[in-house]
Amino acid sequence: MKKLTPLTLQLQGLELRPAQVWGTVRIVPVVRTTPITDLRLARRDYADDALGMVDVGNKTTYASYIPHGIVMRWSGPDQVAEVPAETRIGTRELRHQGHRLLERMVRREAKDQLRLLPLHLAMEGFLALHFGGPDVAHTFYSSDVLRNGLSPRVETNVHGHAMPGLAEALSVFERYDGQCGALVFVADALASTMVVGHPDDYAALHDALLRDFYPNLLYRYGWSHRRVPETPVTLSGTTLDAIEASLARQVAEWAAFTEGMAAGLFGRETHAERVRTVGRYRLMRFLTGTDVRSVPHEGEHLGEALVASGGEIAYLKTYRLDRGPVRRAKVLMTLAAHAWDIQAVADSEGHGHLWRVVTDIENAGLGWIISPELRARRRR
Amino acid sequence: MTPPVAELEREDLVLFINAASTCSGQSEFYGDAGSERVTLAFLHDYVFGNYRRLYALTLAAGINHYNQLMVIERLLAAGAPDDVTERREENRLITGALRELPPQRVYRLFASLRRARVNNRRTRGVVRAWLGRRDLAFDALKYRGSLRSVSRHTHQALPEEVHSFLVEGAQSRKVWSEPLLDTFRRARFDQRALYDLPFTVAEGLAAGQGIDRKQFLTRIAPKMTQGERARLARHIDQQGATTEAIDFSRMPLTKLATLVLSRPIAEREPLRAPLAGAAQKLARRGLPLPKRVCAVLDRSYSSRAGAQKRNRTLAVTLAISQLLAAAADDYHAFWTGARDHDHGKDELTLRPRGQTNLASPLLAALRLEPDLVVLVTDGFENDPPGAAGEVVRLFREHIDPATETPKTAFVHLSPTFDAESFMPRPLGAAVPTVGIRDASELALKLGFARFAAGHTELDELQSWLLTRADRWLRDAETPAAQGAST
Repeated sequence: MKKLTPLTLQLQGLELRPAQVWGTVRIVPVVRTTPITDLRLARRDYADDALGMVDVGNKTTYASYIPHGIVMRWSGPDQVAEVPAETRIGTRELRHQGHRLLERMVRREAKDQLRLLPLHLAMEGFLALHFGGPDVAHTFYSSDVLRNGLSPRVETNVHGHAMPGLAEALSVFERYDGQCGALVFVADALASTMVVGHPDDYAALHDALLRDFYPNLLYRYGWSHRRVPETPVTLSGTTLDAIEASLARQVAEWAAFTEGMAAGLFGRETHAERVRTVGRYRLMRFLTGTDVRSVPHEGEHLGEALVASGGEIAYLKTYRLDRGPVRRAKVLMTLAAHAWDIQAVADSEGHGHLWRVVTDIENAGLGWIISPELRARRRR
Repeated sequence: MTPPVAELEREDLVLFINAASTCSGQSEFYGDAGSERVTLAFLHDYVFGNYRRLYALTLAAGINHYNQLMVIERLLAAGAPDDVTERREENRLITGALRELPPQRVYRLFASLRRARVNNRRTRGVVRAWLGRRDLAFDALKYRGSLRSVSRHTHQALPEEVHSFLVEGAQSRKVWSEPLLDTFRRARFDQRALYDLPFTVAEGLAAGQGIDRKQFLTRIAPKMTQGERARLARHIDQQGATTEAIDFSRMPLTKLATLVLSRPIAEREPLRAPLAGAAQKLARRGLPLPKRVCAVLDRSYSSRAGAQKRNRTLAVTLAISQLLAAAADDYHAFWTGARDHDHGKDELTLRPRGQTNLASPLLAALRLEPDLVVLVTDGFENDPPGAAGEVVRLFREHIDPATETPKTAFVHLSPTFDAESFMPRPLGAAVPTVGIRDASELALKLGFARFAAGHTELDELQSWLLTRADRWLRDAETPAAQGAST
């Protein structure tokens, strides 16, 4: 990521409603008090099994299975934006040539319209982290890395269709009036978040959650639990008024509790990068942090958001990172912070042992950046 | 502490009747057809194995066609009981039920008896008695394969012409003395004859002869039944064919409700009067209702039911609401969904959408101090889960204690089967749950609710079933039609 700015996501103008449970999947509806009308989204289906190849500039290509994109259209602050309809703009993209060749993660298609590749935008930002490799030619590193950088950086994920029970959970989910988003928990771990500005847009994008990608960790969580408990309320009161008040209290308590379950994402300062400006919103991509220990608990999340200057979220999509990617990010960020000097890293960690840092790098799955001579020397 | 045997028996039976009133072996919104069939087959085997007499009596307890067929199949496969009175009772129940079942279902039953290689003396007698009341020439056209198969399997002597029509084919003779058979023979050469055939028979022939669809629909219209015309109404319009208007006045309430929901909201207005009319007609038969009735009605997304029975749950709910509105002196409906529960909202604009928030409409209903609260829902409550049961529990504990005669009664009617609960999914211990398949059975099911509530003895349930069966058979049996051979 280039210039990082702090960003704290808040559920501003958004309310959580009681979760709906199906098997291991818990979906929490997010309802917006007043819909956003100056930014509308639509889904663009690249429905085929082609490999998506995105030209992200700098002679770099991002390759992934990309089943859909999101088209957004905006207007001035107090005007009403139109829902982007599929017109001749963008049809070029839909032509299929063996590989689907796409231009950039976020592509402006008209004065007031752009197309982005959901989650791939964030994932690309993540993979591009110190992609250039060491900027000081230390002898610690293999000549290949010094010459070509970290290319290719690869992470693996699980497609939503493969997530146990997710398809059914999404299809039996009962959408609220005014619902603009959902938090998806798998085995009670926050797997994914989607927030949009308008209920109709959410209705169009609800099923798209199935075509996103999810981490391997939650795939295993999903199989290792049969079901998560539904949490029936217990009310109290001796008059109708008291019962009603108790009901309202319970709903509010559950909303607060659910927000607590999503504490890995909301109310937490993230490392964010501004991608571009969309009307009165900033399109940001962010990473919550690189703490490996929090991965099985609150989780580290990767995402992209459209945020107004007041903190209002018009669009949000997140992905929970696996332990592996977090480790790799952590290693790369630490190395970069110490000008890629492994000994300096060792010193900063207080033990001063070069090998310990090399072992960390190897355990993170980045052993291939270390020079073969150095690794061979240790083996002796 | 083990509960007494009679108590267990009563619970089993209530569970079975509830399950058999709702499960149709088709996928529900939350459940798939496969697990339902497994659950249901187990229930049938269990109840049949333990309480055979009561099992047969449930044929009269308002269980649905699908389950009636399963009951009859098991009874026939097991052979007749030795006891003469029991045998006679069972036979009357079987023939009575078969008489009311639609013919295509009965033929399906016969086919499955054939597959199971059931062909005992009683089965042959039942088939003979049933076929004896059919127009066999008509069946030979419309259910040709089924009739041939059952007559061959159970060695039925069919009328000579029908037999040779089935075996040798329509063109095997120069002329049939049976007019319908002859019309069918001629229809192959003569288009005028084609339009004298029943619609479904003519449809295939017309397609084979390449007759223009619009022309066919226009000319066959007089031979269409009301049901066929209603079912094809939109198709007829699309094809641009002209037929006379559909007469909705004879259509049953739940069917009308399904029809209403199948149409776009803008096209529902013409059905308003027929819907209310059907409710009025049904209400005239009398319903055991107290003065003030409130209904909490679920129109959440899940009420659109499974793919095989689209909108069934909501249609039954709508029909019940219409019926209660026509029958009760003082009726108030509270729909789920929007925050204001759409009190008094136009029910013709219903669509299955939104979450299931039963508790707040229930609280709104209780403020009116009703004598009876009817909750119609599939029982999958999620905003928040379990709240409706809690409200009723607290209401019973503190506001209206369940003494001998509580002021407010509750009943939960569910049109949806839940394979995991072995019955419709309940709303909690405080509300009796009753499965219902059709609004026309509301009176019966309201009567049945007291057994589901658990205050009654087995004897009462038994005598209720007996009276029910007695009345049902007396209504159905004409003096001419006697039971099958014993």
